[in-house]
Amino acid sequence: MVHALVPVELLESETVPQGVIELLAPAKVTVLGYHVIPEQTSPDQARLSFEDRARDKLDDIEEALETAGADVTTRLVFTHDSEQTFDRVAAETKADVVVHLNPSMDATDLLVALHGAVAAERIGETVAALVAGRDIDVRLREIDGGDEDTLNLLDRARTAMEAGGVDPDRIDAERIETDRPVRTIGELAAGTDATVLGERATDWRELVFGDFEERVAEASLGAVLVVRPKGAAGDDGDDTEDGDD
Amino acid sequence: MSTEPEPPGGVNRGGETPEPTAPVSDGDPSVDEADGVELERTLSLSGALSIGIGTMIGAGIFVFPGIAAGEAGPAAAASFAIGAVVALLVAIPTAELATAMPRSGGGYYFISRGLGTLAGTVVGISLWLGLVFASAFYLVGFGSYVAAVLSEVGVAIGFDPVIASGLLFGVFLTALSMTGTENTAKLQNGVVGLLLVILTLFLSYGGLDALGVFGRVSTPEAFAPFGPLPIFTTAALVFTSYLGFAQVATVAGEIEEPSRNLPLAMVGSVVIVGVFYVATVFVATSAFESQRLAGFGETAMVEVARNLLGAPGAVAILVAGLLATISSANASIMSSSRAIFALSRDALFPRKAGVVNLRYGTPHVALLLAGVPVVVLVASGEVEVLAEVASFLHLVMYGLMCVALLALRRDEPDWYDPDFRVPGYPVVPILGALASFALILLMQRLSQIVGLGLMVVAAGWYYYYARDVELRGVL
Repeated sequence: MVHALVPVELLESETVPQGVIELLAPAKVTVLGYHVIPEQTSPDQARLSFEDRARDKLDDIEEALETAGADVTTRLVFTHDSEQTFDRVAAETKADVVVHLNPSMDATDLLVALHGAVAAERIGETVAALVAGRDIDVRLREIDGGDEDTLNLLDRARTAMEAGGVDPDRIDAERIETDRPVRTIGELAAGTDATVLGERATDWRELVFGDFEERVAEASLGAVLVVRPKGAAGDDGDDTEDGDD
Repeated sequence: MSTEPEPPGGVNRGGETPEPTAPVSDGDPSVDEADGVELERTLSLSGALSIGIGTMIGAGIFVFPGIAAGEAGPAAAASFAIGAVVALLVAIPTAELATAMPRSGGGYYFISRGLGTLAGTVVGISLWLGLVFASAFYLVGFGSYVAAVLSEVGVAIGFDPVIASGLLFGVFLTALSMTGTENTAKLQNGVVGLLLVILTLFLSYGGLDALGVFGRVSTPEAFAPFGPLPIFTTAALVFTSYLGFAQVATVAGEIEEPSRNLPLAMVGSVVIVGVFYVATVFVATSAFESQRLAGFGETAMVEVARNLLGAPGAVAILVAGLLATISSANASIMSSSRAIFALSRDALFPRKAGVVNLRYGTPHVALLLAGVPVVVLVASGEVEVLAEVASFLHLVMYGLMCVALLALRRDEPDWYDPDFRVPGYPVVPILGALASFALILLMQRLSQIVGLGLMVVAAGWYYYYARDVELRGVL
């Protein structure tokens, strides 16, 4: 079963659209309700003022997901730094996918964008676990510069999806050559309901322009699902600064 | 905490009860959990250090050297050293208490749990007002730098720019805090780093110069022209320069890996600024004789830099002084509002005082309770009294913190399990308490009267409002 982590900024009126709820129905879902507070406020202070309101919203989301058939747990966090919180909870829950929400309502048409050295099989398996046997089309795209070694990403991902039970007729695969991969993925994402990306190692451009996933999420109308590498999900996450318990 | 004590109890005059605070998780040092809600700790060691250092250097380097040299001569360096020793004697016991109870609220929290509600109320109100006096002092210092900039540029205005700009910025900082800031911590880190670089360069050059490396004539002067007593009274005056380590304890609930980072940040920030202060006074008194330094007033360091490095040096110190005094004032206003929150959480103040608004996510009532009195006090313009009252109110807390440590250690409750234990117990906390109270005795009469008056009012508030609240030995 795929384990998805869905961060929701509860008190900024963010909700989980129906399409995402449907898409995650076969998954194990951790809803991470969070609220970012300014430096003037201590997390405990925010808890005393907002906990009840946040709980109500979180309960509504939990109920909707359970109705759709997902296996749901909820967590509620008050934090000064949402990135730190996502990383910590993703490592703790060993999530396979982190979902960036967007307001688009449907999720019957899924873009799977492979870019750079991502784990194609793992992405394929994860997508299959969500869409196998369901009424969802998959647009599989490999986006890279013309001179790149293709690593066979497209075939590896397709094979993994078919092995996972996705109807081959629903997969439409294509390789796209471009000098501006992020922009291209953004344009493709704008025309689909939801997008699946692989988590990549950060490169220097991301430090300048912001996270790759964030930029795609901004360009897209639908949710962006980022598949985490197996290593990150398999152990306790060496990238966090936690000591062992 | 493995063995939780009973929750706090009792009712205040408004019928509110204290809120139990979040237990601190042992396993994961970056998060606490309170009835199913996670509270992220996001301050790194460098962030905690920069809160401590950033709060302190605004006073010790950019406001006091001229004033202190005027009162104690070159021996003002010894006054700063005495201040550092006293601060260390308190910082070490504070670090133990903070690792045993890494909750926001700082010294107030430790004393209310260690010595009970009356001491807690007095200290909590003292902490809030002590930080208010400190912020006002920093803002007057900031005003002096604005005035120096104006005179540097040659702009003459009809009124006193010191108070006016202090007031203006007091209002501005309060308003800014009420709308919420996301990245001032990063900015603060950058500012503190920049200040330390400027100061290191300046003091290295000035130190070599003072030792005669560049062959200029320095001013020979008796080390203690006014005798030994002014060294100690000056130590009491400049002690405001060491208040920042307690601010670190105020945000103890937000620091990652508190057992390691709290002691490091508290003791480390005192040691770092102490070294800088002593070097600064040494360089300043080598460049000018004490009476001339005193004549330059709050912005004496600008003249020292001009003397050593010419106009570029003066500009660098002017910019640094503006940045440092503002970052000190800002950090103190924030800590002050944290202190109010801790009081309202424990039902010693009405719950409304700590409430957070949804629009900006800021505790607007607490920020106003901090910001408004600051602005009122800036209008007085009394630099020395503001500084001494701030020190007085903090020193009461410091002395009582050492007493609280002794009380907790004497009959250790089950829940008391600090990761850091004071070396040299019980000598260090006893000396810390005695030194804190001794410094209070060395202050001006006016500062002592104001400080005592505020404590009496705080005690009166306890009897009126919160006599039935039980905080001792509960978490």
